[in-house]
Amino acid sequence: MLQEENSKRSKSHLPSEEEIEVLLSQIKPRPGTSFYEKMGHAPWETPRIRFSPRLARPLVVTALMMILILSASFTIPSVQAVARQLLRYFSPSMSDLSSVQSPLPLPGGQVSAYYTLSLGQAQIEAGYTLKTITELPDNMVFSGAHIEPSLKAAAFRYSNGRDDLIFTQRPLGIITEYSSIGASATVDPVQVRGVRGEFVSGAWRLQSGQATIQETSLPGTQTNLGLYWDASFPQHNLRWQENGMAFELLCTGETIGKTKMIEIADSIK
Amino acid sequence: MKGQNKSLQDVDTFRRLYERAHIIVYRYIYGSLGGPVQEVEDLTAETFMRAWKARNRFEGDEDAAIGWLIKIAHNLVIDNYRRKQTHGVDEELEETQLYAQQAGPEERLLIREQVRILQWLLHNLTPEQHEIIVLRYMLDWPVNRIAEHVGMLENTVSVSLRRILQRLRDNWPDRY
Repeated sequence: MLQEENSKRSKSHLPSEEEIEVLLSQIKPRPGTSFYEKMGHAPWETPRIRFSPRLARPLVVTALMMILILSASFTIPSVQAVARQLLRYFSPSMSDLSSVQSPLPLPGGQVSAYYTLSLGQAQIEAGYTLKTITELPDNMVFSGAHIEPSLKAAAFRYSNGRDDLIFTQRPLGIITEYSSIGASATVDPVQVRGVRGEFVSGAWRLQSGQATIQETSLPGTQTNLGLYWDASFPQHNLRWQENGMAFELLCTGETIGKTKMIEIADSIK
Repeated sequence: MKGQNKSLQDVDTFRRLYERAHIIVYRYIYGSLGGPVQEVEDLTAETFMRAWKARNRFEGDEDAAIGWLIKIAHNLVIDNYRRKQTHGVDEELEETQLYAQQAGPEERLLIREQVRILQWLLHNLTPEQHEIIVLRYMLDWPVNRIAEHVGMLENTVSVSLRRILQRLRDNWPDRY
């Protein structure tokens, strides 16, 4: 559709009103990293969460690990083993409370600072052919990509300014392919793209006042994060695997539910 | 979550509002000013700082809070304009600021050029017309929400939008 419109414009040069509307809709600027660095010190940001540009790298790793993977490093191994027999992609914890040793706290509202690449740049950095969503929900637009080289993971962020949709893909075998969820979480087996997938609503959230970090700019500073599972938190997670790749759709907000996420997954090419 | 904002005095509620609204405010200011990016970022930050300071006086749901932020941003843009008495188009429109990244290099170049012309034309609109265009296309607000925000009838907004588009088309430079 977009390409058709662009092609029409290049032929006529003088755009029609409809083409001007399309052009206007394409102007979707977003703040750069300097804005997010500045706003990281805003009074409504938790004062203890401080980071400097030197910490950007571990922060990116942490963000991706925490948001997209939440690997079972903070669950009990025996529980993981049992869980893996029952579920393929999600591993329930013993309770809805947990903690994790992390180089840095969850970045909260700073997430958008990591999705700085265009699709083209992401494709080059990934080194393998990336799939993309071809049918986005209304008003959602691509708003940046991130590549995490250590996981060979590519994450695309789509946003409508209110809700976020994050599509992640990575080759299997680099990390353990399951994700920790709270004991009360419900794992819903679903059919996605002709294979078995799993759907979970809810998220691990930081316990208020639990996160601490030493005021140091040394990368890798460890901190204890207290987490609790919030099953009512408007975040949905759909995971599946196909052709040697692990895929995940993560959506925040209340407008996109399970059925829509499966439809979105079906449109991935 | 929508429509259920607690008082903005609560830090978590304000932070959540910031997380959800900062791109909206940024796009509104960018659309109103046309750049430069640094100025847009500064005014976006200032919008939230003012909202933070005045949060005790605000009551309403999330949509109302976003409308309130847009009004603060609008006032800042006006102040900024009065102070400088000039406005221009950002010459460094970055590719990442356009949702056209799927297009080929030649098409992207064309789109960039057309967007530059469009931004120049937008600055020849009246402030009211400019605002309607920014709210409709850059923020994707429906007509009824724009009407409520600017205090017009829905039909008036719809007619204005058609007229503005006509005007943009009529004023499009022939040589391009």
